Amino acid sequence: MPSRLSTLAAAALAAVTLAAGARRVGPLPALGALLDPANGVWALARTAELPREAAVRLPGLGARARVLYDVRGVPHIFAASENDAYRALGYVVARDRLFQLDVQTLAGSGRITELAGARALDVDRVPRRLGMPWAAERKLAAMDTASTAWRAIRAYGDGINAYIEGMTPSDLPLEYRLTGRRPPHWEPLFTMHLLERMAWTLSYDDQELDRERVAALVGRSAANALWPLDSPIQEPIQPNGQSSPSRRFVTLPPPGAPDAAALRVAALLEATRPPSLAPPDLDALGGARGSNSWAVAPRRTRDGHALLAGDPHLTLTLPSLWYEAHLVVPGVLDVYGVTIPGAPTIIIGFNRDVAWSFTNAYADAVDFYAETVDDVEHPTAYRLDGAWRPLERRLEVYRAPDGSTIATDTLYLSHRGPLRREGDRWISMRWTALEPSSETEALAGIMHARNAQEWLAAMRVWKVPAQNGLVADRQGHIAIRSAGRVPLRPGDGRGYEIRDGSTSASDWTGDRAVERLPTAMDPAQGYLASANQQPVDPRQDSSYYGSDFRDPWRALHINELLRADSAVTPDAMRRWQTDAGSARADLFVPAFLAVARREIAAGRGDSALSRAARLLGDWDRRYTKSNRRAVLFENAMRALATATWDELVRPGATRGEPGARVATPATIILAELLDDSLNAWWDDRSTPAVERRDAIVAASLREALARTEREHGAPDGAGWTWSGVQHANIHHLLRIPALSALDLPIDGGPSTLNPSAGQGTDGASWRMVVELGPEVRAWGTYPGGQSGNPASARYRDRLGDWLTGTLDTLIVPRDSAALRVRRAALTLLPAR
Amino acid sequence: MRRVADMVGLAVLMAAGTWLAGWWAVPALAALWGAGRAWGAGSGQARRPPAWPTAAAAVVAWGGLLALQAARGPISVVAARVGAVMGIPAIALVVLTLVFAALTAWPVAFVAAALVRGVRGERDTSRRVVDPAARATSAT
Repeated sequence: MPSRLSTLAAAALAAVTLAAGARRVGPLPALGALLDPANGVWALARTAELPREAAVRLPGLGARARVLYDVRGVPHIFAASENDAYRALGYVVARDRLFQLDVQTLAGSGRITELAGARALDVDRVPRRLGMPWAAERKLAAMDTASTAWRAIRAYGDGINAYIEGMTPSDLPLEYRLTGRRPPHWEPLFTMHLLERMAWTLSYDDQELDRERVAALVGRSAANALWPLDSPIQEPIQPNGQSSPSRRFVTLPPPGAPDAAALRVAALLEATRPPSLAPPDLDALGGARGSNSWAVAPRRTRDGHALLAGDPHLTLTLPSLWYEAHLVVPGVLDVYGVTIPGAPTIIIGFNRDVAWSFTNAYADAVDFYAETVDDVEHPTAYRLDGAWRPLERRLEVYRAPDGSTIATDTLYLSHRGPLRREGDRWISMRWTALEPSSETEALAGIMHARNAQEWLAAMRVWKVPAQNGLVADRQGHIAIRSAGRVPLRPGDGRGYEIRDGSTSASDWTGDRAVERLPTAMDPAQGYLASANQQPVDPRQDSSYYGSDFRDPWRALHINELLRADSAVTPDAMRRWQTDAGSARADLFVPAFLAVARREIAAGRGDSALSRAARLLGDWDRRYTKSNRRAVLFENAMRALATATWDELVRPGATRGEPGARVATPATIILAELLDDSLNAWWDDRSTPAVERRDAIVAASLREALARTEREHGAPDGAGWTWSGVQHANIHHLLRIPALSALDLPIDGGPSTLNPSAGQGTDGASWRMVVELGPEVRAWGTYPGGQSGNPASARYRDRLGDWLTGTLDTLIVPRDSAALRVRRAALTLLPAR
Repeated sequence: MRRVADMVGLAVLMAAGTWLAGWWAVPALAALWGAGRAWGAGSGQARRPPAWPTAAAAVVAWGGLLALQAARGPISVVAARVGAVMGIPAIALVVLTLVFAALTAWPVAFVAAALVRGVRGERDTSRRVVDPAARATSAT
């Protein structure tokens, strides 16, 4: 007979075990449901691969639809109507990417606290304060319920919900098991949240704050020169008739006196700015966000067919942002490409007649207004044209995973948009992304285009984010347009300043007409290329479009490759997407070497400078994984920026420490400055002497060598190998290291066509090459895999190809019988 | 031999219960099993609680289910990925799963049996006081 003591001990053990099985303990999920070998995490093994054959009934489906998965795990949806195709797409996306659908919605609507608790409050406050959930609701309410877009969004959501409702416990994705969350019922609003999130990523990227911060330190004139309206090297998206890039370097005005007004404006803008998506100074050093696309007319291709390549550069995640799919509705639709889970259409892709891709256009889409309110503490109205107008108020409630309230904020809104308070001032923001738009309508339209003209026509309704839409068709036409809303502003037309909110004369006066947007079709040069550079040569059109364009390094390199090849092949296009050459290195390396030669010739050289120059001179200026010199160059660039822009170090900060400068001008400005050896910007303020260009450049080179040897050892040792220095890091959506792909060696560096910079978290998120011959042929890949299940072979099966720059041949069957090798099949049947 | 057969029978029940109703089936069946064995046991058997065979049955049940999953998918990948998420080696996740099964079964069966024996013991004691047959037996 067991003693009373041992019975009590067993009871205690039972209590502890059952409690641990039933409830979360700290970060640990409830162990019972997690470890259950039938329906817990172990079931992920059973659901890792799609069943060879399955059939489900889908409410709302008009007729039987068939989904065939090819060997790459891409679903080919054969449906009787477009609505059925969207419904089926929603179902298959949910089947592969359910958690991603959910978490992207939470991120877009500022509801991450519902997953992660109070620690995500600051993250959630950003989209809420920007008015993104408010705008998503407004956009949905403004949609025409008879429109194609509305029907697509509804049908897609119905497909997602059909999957969720038919799930068994073993189908639950791992992330839900770890977090204890359950998949929510999908609402059309969630699609709007996703689109809003994309608009934020791509259109809320203004450099006004940087310009103001710099003006506060060194005056307006200097700030405007360091953040110029026009790029000093012109290689525009809309060809300007030049056979080579145009250098238009100007003399930079010297640093001036601090501008107190700019300091106040900077403080106001600071309050409205979301947290940086990139580490300080990364973009200025040549970041990895942006995109490439180019198209070649038949007369410059080997086989006489138009070619198109596209690779959008975004934050890389596992599972990937993109999901590949093929929708076929006989006689109506036959489109292949990538969609973002949550969006009902193909976004980048091709049909039998046209192929398209996008790059971000960086139109200035955000403006700020200083508002006069009736009560600084609790405003109820704002002054406009001499009268008080009521402020709209919206309560933002942040909830914990258990549904309890963590915090509340009141969002005030004028007719322009959300207001933010800075001290005793209120600033409102107008942003194109917060106003009704019709991107889904445009995307649904372009999928049907039969030629470039029709494609451009369908894109006329595209508003936000402004995108350079590139298209090529089977008839041999190529075209590009910087599509999207470009607000027309009063005064000088620029969106630089904080405007007076008390008068409607400060408001936008309309949008630039589509016909006046940067556009090109079948240019004489026989190709078109876009890499986020300034879209139009200001000598052709000086009207204000924006000024936040990316440095033209990638554009220069693409154009150089395209000019040099008059018989382009799809394989050349593929190779170029990961070409390790760099226009930035091509400009700066010779400059470093020339300075070193001059300094040595003038007797100011030393062994360190000679050695640094020799080592840098060894480099072929290509960021291949095996090269051992790019690390020296990158350190030299960093040292040069630190030494040159010492005037921009914030008061109290130490030069060289991370984030010491209030902002860093783009490297193209540094290139411009290199042409001016006596410019005052070269002076090092910390010394009594007045330094000139050569002294600073030589010192930067010496410092780079010392730093590189200190951090990476001897020059010919393994430590200098690029693969050991720069990596791609693809984090899981929850940043769980075990589910991420980290420290991946990569060919590419800052400003190469396959960019990799900083933490390596951004890069080519999808690569596609399409040949528009009698039969469309296409190749593509993305870093990751189709499945969101980490146990699936399809979770990250494309990573290897992505790293080597290999593209898969995309299988594009015209009908279900044409797809002979199938990985799985799914029959969707109308509900009884 | 009978005990092994009983244990295997319980394991089958636990596996089926887990499949159909989830992990709670293990402690629930362990409680029933422990109580039932204690109720039906003679005085000699009563000194050996049924907890260990119950724990063994739970391990066999969940081990069998794991084997079934292994036949249908890559559980080594699951073990590696989920183990890494939890900061433990893949094999440790397997061990943790089986230990968890044992730990939910053993104490529950032990306590259930003890409770039943407690109830039975009280009844036996009260019978000894009032049962004339017992009194007669003790007189002879």
